[in-house]
Amino acid sequence: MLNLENVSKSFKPPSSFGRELLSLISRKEIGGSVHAVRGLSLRVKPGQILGLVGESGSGKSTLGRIMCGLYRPNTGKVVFEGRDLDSLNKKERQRLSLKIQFMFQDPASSLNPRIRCGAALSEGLVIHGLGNRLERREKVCHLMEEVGLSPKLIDRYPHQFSGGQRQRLSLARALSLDPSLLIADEPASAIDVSIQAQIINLLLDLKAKRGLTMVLISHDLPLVCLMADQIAVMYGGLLMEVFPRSLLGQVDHHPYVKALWASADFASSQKITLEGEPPDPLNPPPGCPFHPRCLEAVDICASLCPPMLPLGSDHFCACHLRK
Amino acid sequence: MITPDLNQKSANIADPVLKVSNLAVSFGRGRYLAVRGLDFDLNQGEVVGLVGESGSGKSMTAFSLMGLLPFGAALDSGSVIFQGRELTTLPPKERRSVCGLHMGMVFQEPLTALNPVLTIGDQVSEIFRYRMGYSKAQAQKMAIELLGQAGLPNPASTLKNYPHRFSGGMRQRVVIAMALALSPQLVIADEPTTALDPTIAAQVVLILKTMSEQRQTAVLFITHNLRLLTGLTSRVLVMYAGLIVEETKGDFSDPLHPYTRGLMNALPPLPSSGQSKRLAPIAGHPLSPDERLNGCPFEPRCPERLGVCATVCPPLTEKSGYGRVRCHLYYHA
Ligand SMILES: Nc1ncnc2c1ncn2[C@@H]1O[C@H](COP(=O)(O)OP(=O)(O)OP(=O)(O)O)[C@@H](O)[C@H]1O
Ligand SMILES: Nc1ncnc2c1ncn2[C@@H]1O[C@H](COP(=O)(O)OP(=O)(O)OP(=O)(O)O)[C@@H](O)[C@H]1O
Ligand code: SF4
Ligand SMILES: [Mg+2]
Ligand SMILES: [Mg+2]
Repeated sequence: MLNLENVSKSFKPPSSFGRELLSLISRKEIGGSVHAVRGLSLRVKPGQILGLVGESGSGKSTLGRIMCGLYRPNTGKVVFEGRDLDSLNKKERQRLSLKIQFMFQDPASSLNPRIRCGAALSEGLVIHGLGNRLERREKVCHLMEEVGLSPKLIDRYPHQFSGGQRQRLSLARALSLDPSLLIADEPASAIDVSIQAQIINLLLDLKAKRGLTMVLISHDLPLVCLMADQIAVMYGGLLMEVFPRSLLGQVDHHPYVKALWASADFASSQKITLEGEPPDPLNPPPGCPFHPRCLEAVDICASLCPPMLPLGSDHFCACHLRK
Repeated sequence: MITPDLNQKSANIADPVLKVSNLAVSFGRGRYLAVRGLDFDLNQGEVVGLVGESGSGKSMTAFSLMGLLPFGAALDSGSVIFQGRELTTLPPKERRSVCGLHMGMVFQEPLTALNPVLTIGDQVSEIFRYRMGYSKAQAQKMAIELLGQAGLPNPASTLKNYPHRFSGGMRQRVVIAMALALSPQLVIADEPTTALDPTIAAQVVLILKTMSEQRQTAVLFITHNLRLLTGLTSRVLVMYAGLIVEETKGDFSDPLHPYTRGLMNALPPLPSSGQSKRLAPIAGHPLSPDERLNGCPFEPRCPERLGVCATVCPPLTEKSGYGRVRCHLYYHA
């Protein structure tokens, strides 16, 4: 469905004024670029949910944006349904943007407070010239029902909805163009536990009913384990391990994945507490990005970045000690 | 490394460090009720959790204990007895000095607690210089030792850095170190790990736990992440719509209240449990702060409600072997 081949993305440093100010305050030269995603390959299979997890700043959202063409990677290819995104002309790109939808991390900031719910949901249809007024309204009502909102609320403004309802609105908007791939960035993190379960169930139903393919970005591990078929773990802009959900805990995982799971499992007796800090994206460490914190690191880890090697079917791992 | 310590509770039950009764806070001259009447105690050296959804009044509880209510908020009623002294009637200046010396606070966003134009060293040693009257050199030495305890690598060189050079986890450790610098009797930590990732959050919780244990400091740990509390706290206060609805065990092993049980069912199961059940969301929305209470605050959403629930708010009653619970199901039984 979607193939990423060796993609990387770095961002230019902040504006020169900001940079000078920062250098002034810290009395240090600040420059170089932020290496958010540093060359990784990944495959999303149709009809599956791929869970993308990793620490804050590990590059998950950036990768999500690369996947849907919001960012153009500096190197590498994004191949969607057999076609390289870069080779498409403008019109083809536009058609493609119907098929891949992105659901943003923060629903409050992605909805315009002055636009009523109905207009917000039909925006995409209008832009792409789909249907007439009546058809669009019918479609919007249908969408609202699909995400569990009463169509009676169609004339409300975003602030008149609760957090969970706003999250459903932004889901309905992402679904309005019948995408075949949905990229959901932290779909449930901004809402309370008692309500987030609704969104989770909704996404699972959509997968079952529509056969929707999804990339679920989250750092809530129990959530990812519940939903995903395939789990990809990022660290410092690179993939550490990709494995099917069914293998969780059944194989000798990457040292970072082990620690991550131990920290999520607060009840677990075998706590692994990692020392140290995640890598600085401005100057990532040489070798394996995890080596400064890794409990198993050997000499070679500090100098050579381990390649991603297959360990089994659909199971890949980047670690010198897992081959 | 984090192990449950249930014996802590037995220490000095007779005279709690903090005794809160009927604490109520509102905004807009009583129009918005943020906290509707809380009662709880904290014993010396004890770590107690305070959980609840967004808007349930956790932060306002914390601010009112510290005497730091934001503009527009007022204490409607209640007493806060700290080490035998009533705080709410103290003159502001005296209250600030009591709170400054014997209470510490860790906020959700560590950047707001740190001054961006001062080095970490200046900010930490300032506490020792101005509160304790230490010399500059002495204060510097104390600061290095303190940051070392908080697990910061090379504290001596760390001191010279500005806050923006640090990651979120490092900043939060600095803030925890500052809150515990003077070995206070009580620290209130308001969502200290919410902005952090799982592995970093685990570090921060561990630091808070060890540092407060060394100093016999009581901690009120506010969070909306129920799982974070396992093994950290002996008991947990569950808040809903400005009220404590249940006081239960730190690991949530025997929740009684329909709301607490609902929360447990809405939570994705732990990966290690091997379950993959469908989650059960709680229908409806929490009471908003401008609504008055007629009966139980959870009644509109409660799957087990009784006839009486809509009209009478149940009191928070002791349930031996469990804790306290505010629910008619247990009140009459
Ligand atoms: N537009 C941008 N300009 C400059 N730097 C950026 C930009 N977007 C992201 N970054 C940087 O790239 C790195 C990766 O960011 P990204 O948002 O992908 O992380 P993430 O894994 O989604 O984190 P989180 O869990 O906090 O959402 C970070 O260091 C971030 O500061
Ligand atoms: N300035 C204000 N004016 C009116 N109401 C306010 C104001 N600040 C907070 N509130 C209300 O007070 C109630 C309690 O807020 P509080 O910040 O204590 O919640 P909380 O439990 O800490 O939530 P969170 O988990 O989101 O931090 C909320 O319903 C909130 O809407
Ligand atoms: S008092 Fe009644 S409505 Fe409230 S939680 Fe108990 S059973 Fe439910
Ligand atoms: Mg992100
Ligand atoms: Mg709060």
